[in-house]
Amino acid sequence: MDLPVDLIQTLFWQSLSLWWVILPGTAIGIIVGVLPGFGAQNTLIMLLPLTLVMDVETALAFMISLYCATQLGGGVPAILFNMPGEGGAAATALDGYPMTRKGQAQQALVLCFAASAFGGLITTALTIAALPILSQMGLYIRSPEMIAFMVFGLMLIAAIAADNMLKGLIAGVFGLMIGSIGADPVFGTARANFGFLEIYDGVPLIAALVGLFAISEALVMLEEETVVHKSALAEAKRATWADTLDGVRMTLRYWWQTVWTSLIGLIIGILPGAGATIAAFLAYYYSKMFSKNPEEYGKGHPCGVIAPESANNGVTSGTLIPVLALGIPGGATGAIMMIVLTYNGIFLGPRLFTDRPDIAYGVFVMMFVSYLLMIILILPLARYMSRVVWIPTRFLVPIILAMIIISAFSEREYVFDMWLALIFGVIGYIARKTNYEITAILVGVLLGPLFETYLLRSLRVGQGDPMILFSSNIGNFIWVMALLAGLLPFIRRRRKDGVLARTAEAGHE
Amino acid sequence: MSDVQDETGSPGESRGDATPAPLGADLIIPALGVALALYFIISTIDLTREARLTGWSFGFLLIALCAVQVAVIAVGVRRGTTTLRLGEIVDNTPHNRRRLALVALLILFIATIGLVGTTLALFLTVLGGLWVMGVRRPPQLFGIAGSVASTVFIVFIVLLGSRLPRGLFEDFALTLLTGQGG
Repeated sequence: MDLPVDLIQTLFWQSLSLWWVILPGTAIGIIVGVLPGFGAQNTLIMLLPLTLVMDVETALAFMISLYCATQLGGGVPAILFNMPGEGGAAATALDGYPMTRKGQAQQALVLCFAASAFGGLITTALTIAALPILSQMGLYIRSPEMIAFMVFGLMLIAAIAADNMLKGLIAGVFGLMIGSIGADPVFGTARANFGFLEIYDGVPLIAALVGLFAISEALVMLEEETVVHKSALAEAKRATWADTLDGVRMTLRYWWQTVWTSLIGLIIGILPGAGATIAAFLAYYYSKMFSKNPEEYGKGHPCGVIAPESANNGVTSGTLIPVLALGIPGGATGAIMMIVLTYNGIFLGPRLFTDRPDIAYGVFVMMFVSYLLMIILILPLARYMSRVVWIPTRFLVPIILAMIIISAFSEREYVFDMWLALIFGVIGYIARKTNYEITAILVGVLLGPLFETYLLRSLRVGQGDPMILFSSNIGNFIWVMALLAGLLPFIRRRRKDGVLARTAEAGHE
Repeated sequence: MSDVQDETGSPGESRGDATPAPLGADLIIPALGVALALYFIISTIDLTREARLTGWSFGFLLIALCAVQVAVIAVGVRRGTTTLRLGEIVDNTPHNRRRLALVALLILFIATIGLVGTTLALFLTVLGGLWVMGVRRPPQLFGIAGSVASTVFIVFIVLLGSRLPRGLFEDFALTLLTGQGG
């Protein structure tokens, strides 16, 4: 199918004329993204009556700008307070928060916003150019390939464990064990739910996320006067617009990171059942793996912010491809968009490209315009939002704890989830104090249930034969990549230890 | 994050010290892990193989890893380089007392939210939290607690229509605002 350039050009100007609905959508999206647990899907569900009365183009522009901005907003609390608002932003906290502690909150926020906006722009442009080809990709990925992808994601535990292997592995497998709680994916039998119906379907992710990261961080934070190191606070307060622009300089310096990690997001986004969390962690992992200075990651490396944020936003366009091309919503957000389109008499699926190309391409052109308009907000947002971390912790800690407990309620609206968040908070605090990586626990909790679902589905298809997992070329390629990914951190570490030992020996002589 | 962990890391990391490092706290996460694994295994013993497969695999792996961790610490205790004391995590310090008070406030908040309603419970919790953190000036105490509680009421309950528990305050305020109580 040829690229309809004229149509895309017309759609671009049409979308730009909808700036009056895109800007409020973006503003709501950023606020919603900052609030943990209050994802795009919850907001879209609440605003569904409003979108149903709009005409289809306006409704799409509003929903898409809100959806894209949510991904951008999620990185803000992760960077400023080590409190990711959603699973994908947990990877951003790994380097974003150390940057804040060093007095570089402005730069970290610019990196986050710029990587999000440019990552989104790149993947959206690519999607528009290759939409017919990309729309077929989901058809080649089945459960055995997905299992290989999951193992790929679980290799992150090995990367985290490279610094303290035993504790890292215990944390990761503890997370997987927590992820195993709840109904089994084949028969739906309750497992290890302590008699609570509230966790019949498994442990709610937002409660686990805000507990492990946010509550535990607040309990650790109270030991300091401010979030920023005392030594860096004066420097942070002296920061000028030049420092804000320093974030832009860093983004330009690492432009290639934005490009290739956003492509990881796009591919993961197309795959059914994957999503922003896996994309962000994989992008972070590969950015670290291919870096010349992997030891700098986790201490405030700019690429540690760029990689997960561009991947996160790459996912946004990827997720919508199966919705439009196959009529299969990959998640709640896609399902809500389907409802609005169907309500307006537009039926999704392969015929959409021939029957209503203005809608098929229009969605991605609107996304492109949303990201374009978002760029205007990057510098002022980063400059003024970063000042929140100057507030003394004696004020911040009680406010954060109160808001976090409220946000734990937001996902499912159960008071039970508040208790769960508190329990995870205490576990996270003990884990931090005793050097068990909470990120490894979280990776286990997030990927455990997905891994189990695809494993059991594959084994069912293969009638119990485990060789089904190695039955496809794409899958086998991913298995080899996963194996290499698992081994590389240890090989690099051994090599580095060897070099250090030789250097020390030479110095001694 | 690593920053924080470096600063607050377990004392056991400084193994070159002459005094034995208290590593008892390092066994809390393994103990929780083993307890969860055993509970999972025992409670799913009657289920089909497919329902047990992954959970049991993770469970046995976790038990094995925790056994290695226990062995590592046991060797240290035997050599006299470590002890089983819990160390900093349970020491009677001002920070730990504050942490305990904040957790107690959160427990109280969750336990009473259904009775007194979100806004009032939140106001009292933030007020208590600020007091625990050493804030004493009434304008700061009441100003911050009031702002947080009213923001949550307006954003979550009024604008977003969240089903956060409602009490007397919410019923009264909603009646005033919309003419419809709880």
